[in-house]
Amino acid sequence: MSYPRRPLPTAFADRRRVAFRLAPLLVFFAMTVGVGLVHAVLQSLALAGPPALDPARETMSRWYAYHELLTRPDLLRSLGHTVYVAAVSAVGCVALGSVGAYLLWRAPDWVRRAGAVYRLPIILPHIVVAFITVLFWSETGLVASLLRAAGVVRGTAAVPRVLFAGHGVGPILAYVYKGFPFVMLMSLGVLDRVPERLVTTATMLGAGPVRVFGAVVLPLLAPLLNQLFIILFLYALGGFDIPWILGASRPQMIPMTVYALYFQGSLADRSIAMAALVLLAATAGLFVVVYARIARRLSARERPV
Amino acid sequence: MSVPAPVPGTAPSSRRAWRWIALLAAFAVLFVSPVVVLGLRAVAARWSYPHLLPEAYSLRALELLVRDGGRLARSLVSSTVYSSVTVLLAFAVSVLPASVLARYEFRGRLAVEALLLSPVLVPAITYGIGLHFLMIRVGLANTTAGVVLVLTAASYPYMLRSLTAGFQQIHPDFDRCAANLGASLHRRVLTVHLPLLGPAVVAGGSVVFLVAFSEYFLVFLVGGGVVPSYTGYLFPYVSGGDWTIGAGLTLGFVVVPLVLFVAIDRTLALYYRRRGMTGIQ
Repeated sequence: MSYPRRPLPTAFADRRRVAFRLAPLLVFFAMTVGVGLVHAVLQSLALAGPPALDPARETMSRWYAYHELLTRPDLLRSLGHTVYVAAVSAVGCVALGSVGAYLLWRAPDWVRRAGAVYRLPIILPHIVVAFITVLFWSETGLVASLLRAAGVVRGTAAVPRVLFAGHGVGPILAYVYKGFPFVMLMSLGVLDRVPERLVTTATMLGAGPVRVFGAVVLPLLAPLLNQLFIILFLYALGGFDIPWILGASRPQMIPMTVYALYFQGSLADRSIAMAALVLLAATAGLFVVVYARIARRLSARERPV
Repeated sequence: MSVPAPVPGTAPSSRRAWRWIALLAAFAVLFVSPVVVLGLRAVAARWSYPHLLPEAYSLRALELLVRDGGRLARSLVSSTVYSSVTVLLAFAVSVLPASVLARYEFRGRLAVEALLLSPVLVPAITYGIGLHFLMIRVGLANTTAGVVLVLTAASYPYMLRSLTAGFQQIHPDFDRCAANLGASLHRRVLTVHLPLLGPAVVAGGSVVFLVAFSEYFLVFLVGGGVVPSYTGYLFPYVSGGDWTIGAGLTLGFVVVPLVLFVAIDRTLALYYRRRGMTGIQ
């Protein structure tokens, strides 16, 4: 159980003490995340960073980087592709994770104990998950070998290309594999506090397992799943490690594009890279604000279980 | 994985047992097979399409220990050190704010909390590249200190969240009682707060350690290849260089956290049993 928060003490000295306790972390945050973001904003507007050696840059508009980012077809395609991969990955994680958690929650103890292996991908680094994806899903990988052994395909030419084909299946497979056990873990944490009688009542009223999931379990998990969706979506939007191994070169995931523009492009390209980062951070910030709103509304009418 | 046989003679429940066995089979395919494949791959000399098992075996991955053991050990030690320091720093910056966020209600608390937790949501690359540029200026780029700073920035929210939840579970009277009995702040922190916070520290610390230990990009960016890291050592092998060695090294990522967590779990259990504190939480 947790104890309720109390109002701040009214004495000024006490309030100052409270402020002092918050200050170190606020300063740390400002000195790392804060300055990093501010620098990105400034450099995207060509107000900081190395001076552009290209004299043409001097005459360009302040908003050159944003203009390029939002009008160049290859960059736009990258943006769209990244949002698509991130959204599909996050939906996949939440869907598989909540169903998986429900199944384990309803399972008898011996299944639950043996089923604990589901936690494996949680401890695996992203680059390892990407490597496993390559081992299984590349054109000459294990899945292709299995399909051939089963007689489904003959010869290498018949194996459909899963990775690096440009439709983002590689990164999606890796993100879902890494993410859905995490959703399971968190969901089980919530479900284990749900009393059995809710399910018993629903079953007595004639609900089957699918109906119980939809009418009882999902509504209880909804706030958590919303949170997890946002976390996983934003991670996949800005994650570097998985596209670094599994991303196609065209269309590229945005973190790859940023890296290439920043470290391999011209100095003017650097401001485009920073503009992409600012856009990414703004998207994330928007999500945080919207989420804080939703969370406040939800906690105002939190229902006791 | 031991699976007890279903109780015979109970028709409906044995049909149900088959369903659970099917579920476990799916789990085995999803979560056990990758480890088996990595294990086989690590001892495979040749394993090409369309063979379902390696064609020839070798202990080439082990030879790496002899050939390049020094660099491998350095990368492992370096990763362990910067991840551990990251846990300590994350704890140091989070513990006091967590106590405030857990105990007091004030205007803007949610805003402060959302701001401080935001590094979990805002992708690290967005501030990482800008921060790296500034670190070059102040001489923190390519140093372990710089790596610790950027990893702490990316991972302290897990510690903050865990400690906040931990503080919320401590009854405020515990502190008051100890103070009434004359315990100094120092003594209260050591004998009341820290033991009660133990599980929250371990939970937060484990996640922070794992995030830091597994991170490739930020270490690669800020460490600049000068700060050795296990992920950095592994990368060239898994990205196409040598799958046999890549698979062998990858198994380290399964073993190291498992050993670590079991060790922490055992130590803590022992500690709490000695102090007779089981059942308080």
